[in-house]
Amino acid sequence: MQGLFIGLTALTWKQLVMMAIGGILIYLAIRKEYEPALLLPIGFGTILVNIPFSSVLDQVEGGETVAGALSIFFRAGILTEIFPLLIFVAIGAMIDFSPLFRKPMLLLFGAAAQFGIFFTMIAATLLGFGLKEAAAIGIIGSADGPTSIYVASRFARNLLGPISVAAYSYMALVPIIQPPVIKLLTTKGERRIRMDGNQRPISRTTLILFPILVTLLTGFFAPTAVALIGFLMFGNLVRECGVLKKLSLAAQNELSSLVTLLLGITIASTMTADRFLQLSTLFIIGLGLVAFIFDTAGGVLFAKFLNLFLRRKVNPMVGASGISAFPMSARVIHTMGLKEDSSNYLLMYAVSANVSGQIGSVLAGGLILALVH
Amino acid sequence: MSAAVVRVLRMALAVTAKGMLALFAFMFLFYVLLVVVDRIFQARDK
Repeated sequence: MQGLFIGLTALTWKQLVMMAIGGILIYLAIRKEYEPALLLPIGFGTILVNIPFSSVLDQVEGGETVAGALSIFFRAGILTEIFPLLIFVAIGAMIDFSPLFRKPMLLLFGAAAQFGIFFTMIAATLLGFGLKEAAAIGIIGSADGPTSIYVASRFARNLLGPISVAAYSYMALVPIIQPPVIKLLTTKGERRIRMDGNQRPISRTTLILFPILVTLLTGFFAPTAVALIGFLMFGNLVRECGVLKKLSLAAQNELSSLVTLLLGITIASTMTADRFLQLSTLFIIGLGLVAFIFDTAGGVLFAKFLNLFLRRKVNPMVGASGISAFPMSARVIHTMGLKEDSSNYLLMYAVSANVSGQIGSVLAGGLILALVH
Repeated sequence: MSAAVVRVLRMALAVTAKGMLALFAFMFLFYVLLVVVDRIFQARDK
């Protein structure tokens, strides 16, 4: 009879705290709609893995290890990097690069707005983290969940849970994080700058060649980044080739939904009380915020720097959408622009910078993998 | 600050310098690529 209640009698206060955290994540996903596709599975998974002797994790029974479903998913999907890479195919299939062709200079914002990654890495080393762990924490600033998971699974598997939660939470909080930083760094006049552009169509051949050439270029100069960029560009090629419409739609919808679901609940397997309830988790949550703030600052300040030389000025707010959180950041900048001047439509430029941020974040992940030893 | 932290910090600073430089270099390369490919095929389409 006692065996029936073993799950209850073995419950610790730490596991109860983790279950409450799981509940909060589910609440945020449902009530606040903060990245529900990720936070809901992570939240529920957190509850699952903190039940004592939970059969979703590996358990030792009679001297033998019995494999748990989430442990199997973790080994098959995260340690092999398959899940994040499949997500990149889906994301690639969702990206339309044509706005970038209309304003190619905005590509540079995709580099500037990754500054938070490196700043946070430095800050993490000052808090006593090793270089690899600091790099994995810094990559939260890529504002790109799969890249964060990919790098963390290589460099700091023990920190995968808090890094993923921080990355996805702050991505959902972009509308709250970015506006005050932008306002602090710009004048009202700068926020009212108008940008001119065009809506010309882009040739299909160009859109087909672009993902292939980007993959080749990245491969020649930074082969470590090829898996990341290559899968992203493969997804984009499927989209642009025009002969795989069904596959493109499947990648954008079914593949994306299924892998996101598996990714979320699998990451939760690292959210056990003994791993998560540590001082380092608090540091990671704090550093994640620092990363997003300095990403935004990097993009805005780079735009202001460019304006020193440009005849046709760039609205510095557009620089802030050089982060990867798509299309959230572009929408934030567009709305801010309209608040300053109701006839100033910045959406097209913000989307271009945001798309370049998606390339920039993946590239930054690849470069971190290449540079950190 | 301990010697170990200073050593890691130095490495982080080196990675930052190289990383940001490489990132801008790649984005500039992509920029050139974008402009060139667009010019060629836009003209051909016309």
